[in-house]
Amino acid sequence: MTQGGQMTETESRVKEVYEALKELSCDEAPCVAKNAQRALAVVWQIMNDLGLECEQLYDYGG
Amino acid sequence: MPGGGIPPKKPVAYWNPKTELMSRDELTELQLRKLKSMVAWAYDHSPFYQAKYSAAGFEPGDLRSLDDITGLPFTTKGELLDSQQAHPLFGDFTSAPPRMALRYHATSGTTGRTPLRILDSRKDWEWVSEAWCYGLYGFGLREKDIVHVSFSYGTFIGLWGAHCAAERIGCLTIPGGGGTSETRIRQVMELGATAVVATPTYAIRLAQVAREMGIDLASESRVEMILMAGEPGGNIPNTKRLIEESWGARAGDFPGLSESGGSTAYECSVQPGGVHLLEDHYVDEVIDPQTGKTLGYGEKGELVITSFGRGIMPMIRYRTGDLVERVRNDYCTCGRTFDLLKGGILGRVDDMKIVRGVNVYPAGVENLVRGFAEVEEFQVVITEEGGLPQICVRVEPSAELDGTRRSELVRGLQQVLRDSHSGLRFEIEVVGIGELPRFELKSRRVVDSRARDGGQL
Repeated sequence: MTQGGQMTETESRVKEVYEALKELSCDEAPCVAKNAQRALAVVWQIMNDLGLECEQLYDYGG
Repeated sequence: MPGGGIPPKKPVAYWNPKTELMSRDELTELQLRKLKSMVAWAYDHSPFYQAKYSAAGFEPGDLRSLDDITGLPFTTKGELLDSQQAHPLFGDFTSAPPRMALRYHATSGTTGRTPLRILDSRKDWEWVSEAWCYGLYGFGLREKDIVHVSFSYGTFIGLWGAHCAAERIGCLTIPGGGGTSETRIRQVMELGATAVVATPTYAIRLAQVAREMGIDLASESRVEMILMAGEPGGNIPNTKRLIEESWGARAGDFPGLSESGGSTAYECSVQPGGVHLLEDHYVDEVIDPQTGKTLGYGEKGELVITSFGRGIMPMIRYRTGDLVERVRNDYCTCGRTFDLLKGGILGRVDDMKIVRGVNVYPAGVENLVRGFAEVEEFQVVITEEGGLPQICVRVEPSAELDGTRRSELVRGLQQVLRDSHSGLRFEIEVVGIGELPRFELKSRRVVDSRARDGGQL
């Protein structure tokens, strides 16, 4: 979603965490998948607040 | 603030400095990106929006600038209710299957129709509390605070968002549901709450109950902040003053609506007499409610919102019915670039009463009545006698008044109300203590019993 401009170090790290959580959201173990989905929904808020991403997450538990 | 007095204002601080201090050009670009994303999502996944946009000859690709939003048709609550009736339970405006939701809420049903059923997905529900954080943090709430949320919870979304936001900030958060007002006051005192979340009406009621219990909240409690939502009163000057004096606390206004997911604007620590729009999470428009034409700064009209946060139930160009006046960001000195609504939510576009040709706004009457410290509660009753409308304000005093003080109160009220309403005569009736209804949420102080709905006599 980001257009123009460099991401700050913080933003880059948030994006890495976000992408990692997306992968974990599909894990076979419910304790991994469900907690990752919850964490993903929280990290999405940072991505959205910073204008980095505003996609929907229905493929990753909503 | 034990010892009494209203505490000083907190220093200016921002929940999200990146966007709250963004230039207008950057903000517009951000809003456009989010708008395009949301409109495309709704068009692709919601039968309701697809049909609506197709009928209007609009495709998501038509959005090239933020101004192009005016090419999108409005969405009304009536349409959403019709959709849920035709496609039970949740309507065809949803953009994902209901199984993707993890929260169910409903509107308060104050319009007399079936409440609107509302879903939130995991991400959407987190967003609801995130949006609240802008305001609560900006007003001064911090991790060290102890927050009492004084409402009944349940399916009405009400102050749920504030509860979750207080937890997100890291506050000890007390769910004040399920008890009486006395129970809540005891919790506030025993647990040392420093902030109370309530509707303006209920904040006044709690202060009254505390007095009856022999507690002076202003001098005996630790409460420094009253965080108000659910009603317009949070920015009615005399109502706000009454609440601040009763509690010895600063009172902040955080308007929102169930359909949007809660908080849409917030009062910052400067308390400029208005609320900042949450412009990185919404596009806000002000329109003429009759013509739908976009209004400019300083013009009063209906607030129309487009939410970027709630994906499962998109709200695009939603007509809120709230009467507002938008002003530029420099109305406040906090440094935020977000514009403001001067005076918060001024009322509902359809709650104005016309009595003998004079416009009567409930919020305006409230402000005048709340200027009289002797008045504990009030009610406005409009009737028709002999073909002529009559307006009466029933006031309940805080203590028994002797004949002289009662006459002074009646005369004083009649004069200020008449002077502010082009000479319209208001009857004043002083009723007994405890006679008028009390409210926790969504007060209903205007009773219009005239034949025609909404009374235009």
